Amino acid sequence: MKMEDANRKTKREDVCPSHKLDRATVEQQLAATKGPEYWRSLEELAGSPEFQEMLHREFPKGASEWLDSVSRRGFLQLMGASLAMAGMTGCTKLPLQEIVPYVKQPEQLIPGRPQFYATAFTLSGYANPLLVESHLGRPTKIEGNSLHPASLGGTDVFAQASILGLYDPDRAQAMHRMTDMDSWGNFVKQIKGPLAVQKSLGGVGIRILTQTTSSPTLKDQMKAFLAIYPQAKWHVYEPANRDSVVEGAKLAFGEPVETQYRLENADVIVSLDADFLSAGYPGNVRYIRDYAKKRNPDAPMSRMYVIESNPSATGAKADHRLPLRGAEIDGFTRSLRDLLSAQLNSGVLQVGPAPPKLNPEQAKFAQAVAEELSNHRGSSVIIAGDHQPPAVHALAHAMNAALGNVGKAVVYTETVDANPVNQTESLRDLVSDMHAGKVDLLVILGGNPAYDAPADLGFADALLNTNIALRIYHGLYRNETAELCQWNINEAHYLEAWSDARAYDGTISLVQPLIAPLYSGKSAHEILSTLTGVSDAPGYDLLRAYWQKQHAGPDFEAWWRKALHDGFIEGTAYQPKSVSLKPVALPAPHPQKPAASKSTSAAIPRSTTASSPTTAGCRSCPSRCRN
Amino acid sequence: MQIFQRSSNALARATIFGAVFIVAGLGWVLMELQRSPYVTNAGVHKSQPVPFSHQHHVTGLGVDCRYCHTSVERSSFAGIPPTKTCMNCHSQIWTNAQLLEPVRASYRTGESLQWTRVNQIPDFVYFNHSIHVTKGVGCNTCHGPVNEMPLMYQASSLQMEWCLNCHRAPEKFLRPRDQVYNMVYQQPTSALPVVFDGASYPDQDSLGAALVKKYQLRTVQDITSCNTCHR
Repeated sequence: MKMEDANRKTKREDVCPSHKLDRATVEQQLAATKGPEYWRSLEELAGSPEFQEMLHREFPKGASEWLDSVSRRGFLQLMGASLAMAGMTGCTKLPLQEIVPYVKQPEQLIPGRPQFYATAFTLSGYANPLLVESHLGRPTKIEGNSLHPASLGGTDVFAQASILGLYDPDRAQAMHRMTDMDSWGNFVKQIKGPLAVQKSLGGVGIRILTQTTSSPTLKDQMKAFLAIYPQAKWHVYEPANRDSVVEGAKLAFGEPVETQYRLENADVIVSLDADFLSAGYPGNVRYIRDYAKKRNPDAPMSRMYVIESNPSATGAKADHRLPLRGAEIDGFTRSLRDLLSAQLNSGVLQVGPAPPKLNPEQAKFAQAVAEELSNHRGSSVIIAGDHQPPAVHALAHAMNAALGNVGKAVVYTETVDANPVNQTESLRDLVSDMHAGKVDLLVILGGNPAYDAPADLGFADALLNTNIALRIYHGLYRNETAELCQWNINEAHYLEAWSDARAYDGTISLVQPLIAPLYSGKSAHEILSTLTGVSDAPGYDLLRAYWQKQHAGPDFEAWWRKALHDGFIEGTAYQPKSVSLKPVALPAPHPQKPAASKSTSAAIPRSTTASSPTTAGCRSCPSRCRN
Repeated sequence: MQIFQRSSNALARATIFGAVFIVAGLGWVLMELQRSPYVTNAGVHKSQPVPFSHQHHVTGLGVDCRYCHTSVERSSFAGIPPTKTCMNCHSQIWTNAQLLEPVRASYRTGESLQWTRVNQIPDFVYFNHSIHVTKGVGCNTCHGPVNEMPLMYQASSLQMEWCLNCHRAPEKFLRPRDQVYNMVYQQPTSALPVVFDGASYPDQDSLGAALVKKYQLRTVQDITSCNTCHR
């Protein structure tokens, strides 16, 4: 009994010691140590006396010892009786059940057998084609669309998980205005005033922020919107965006292009931190198939070299793998460029400072890769990872061109992204406009920029403190951004809405709903339509009207039904286009510590070269860099 | 000083000797209770929103089972007809009958009719109609004389032992596929043999054996394995 009383008096601080740690103390402690220092929690690092005590007690303070008076015999009797009685739960009468049929049963619906509808899941603007299984009108399982050329029936983990978003109980279930629930009709009425004011000003105060989108219908709607409000601006931002890819293409070719890989034509694949076999990489489902085609042990097999900073599925499949820190891959690529130039006896984008020296292991790897590539001119491919800086991308393009791989293992096409801009710059422009007081009407379609925009930009602060008259947020959740906006319009999940998108190869995939919006959500198309003045057009009509314009003709009905049945519009894959390399000066690589043969990382303190001028540029660089 | 009467001796001897019989008797009572219509609902008329008479519609009018129970050949669930199926006829006949007011109301308002399930098995059992119908199990083999029921009731106990009765010897219960929906089918006798696949069979044993072969039924071991039904 005494022990119980003591437990009741236990305070939280005694159970979970929260020691005030600050950086100076930690640095002090670490400075004194020699060699690697391991710890599993900050409390352990602090080595506080409370932690030592907790470590030595057999039972943590919160758990009490059992001093109850129930004897072993009594306990066994109870358990034995429970076990014997447990079987009695089977002796019940079946409760009355009801069968509730339809009033008018839809055609072709057999209760007990599922139906399948073609649609597409978009991730970062790229469409993943799907067939979704539906039981009595409720989508239950995601399958792949084997007819679609961009996936050949495969799906990735994000597509499979996306159905849970439809049934997420935390979804926004109503429209909100400030803290009250409101209606779409009211929104339409209220938006008319500000829009009319802006129209007379040419839309100078309107900003629309979207995530990456490839939807041709949305692009057309934005064009129409910007025609009515010429001074308005369309910003694009997504946290895990492909800015480096866009900048790399601009560096190499002068224009943003989409890089597509034909891995069934590649005998040698070199991946520079590109995890192209994993979910999230555009086209990964197709790349997996194509890659697998060349891995038949009874036929000539391809060989893959992966240089990466994180263990990944692609690295696991590599025949040869070199782990390098993310920031060192830039230097490695430049060295590879030099070695390859030597092999090919030609200059490959020669301009630029000399790269840092590689250690013997890395140099051997690079030499082997260079030799392999030069022995497989025209049947090799170098893939640069999305997060590598633009220089790495430009070098990969240049090396592919020099090796003659273009048109075989790698092709260039028009961008899938409907608005390929540097998204970090786009967001920075928006924030500076917000601070300058130029924004009166801000529409945020999806995403959560108040949470995931770079902290330096202070987007949340700008949203809150710059007196933007009308802020509208459209999304699936009432998240951090929604809280800072006056209107929260709940979004219709992609399984509830009509839309379209392009797959990684450009094929137009139609997004078809499987269930009517569970919470009367609206799609981005419907919102844009309201902003251009037509408020009650449902998504289906908008999509159909756009495609009727594109495919005018008497056979539209049959063509439309076939496209919806298949899930895509045949023949819309992008054709390869020819691009020419520009000679351009590459930016300097990131400042490196001299490469040691074994990198020891002191985890908390960053490099203390904070005063060097180039690291100030670190903050403006869109790539994710790990020093 | 005696606390107990003399007769207690006899009682004690009887119960000690009879303990086994008493326990067995109790067990028998429980088992019979468990099989009784009270627990299985066999023969019990459950209340329905509309007193639908199968006897009138099937025997009286000649409506086939599949007109309403449409998915019995293709799905695990046989299907209860939507209100529209009722209205197919009852928008033209008996249009003002008081009995049919719930049906008309359902069609008018779009609210479904809420029928009480009659043939019910627990949720841990998987039953698929289409396979049974395809392999030659007749409707009235399990559902009883539905065509003679003015009000629907569950004809069999639908307990596992009842299912196993057939699953252990399907040849005793099968019939040719074209006779599945025949509510007055009789198993063959020497006086009235059944013709199937060009041959005449005078008894169920020979007909059953032929049907098992022709319809490619799985072995008894297969269809009595646990996960056939308890998936």
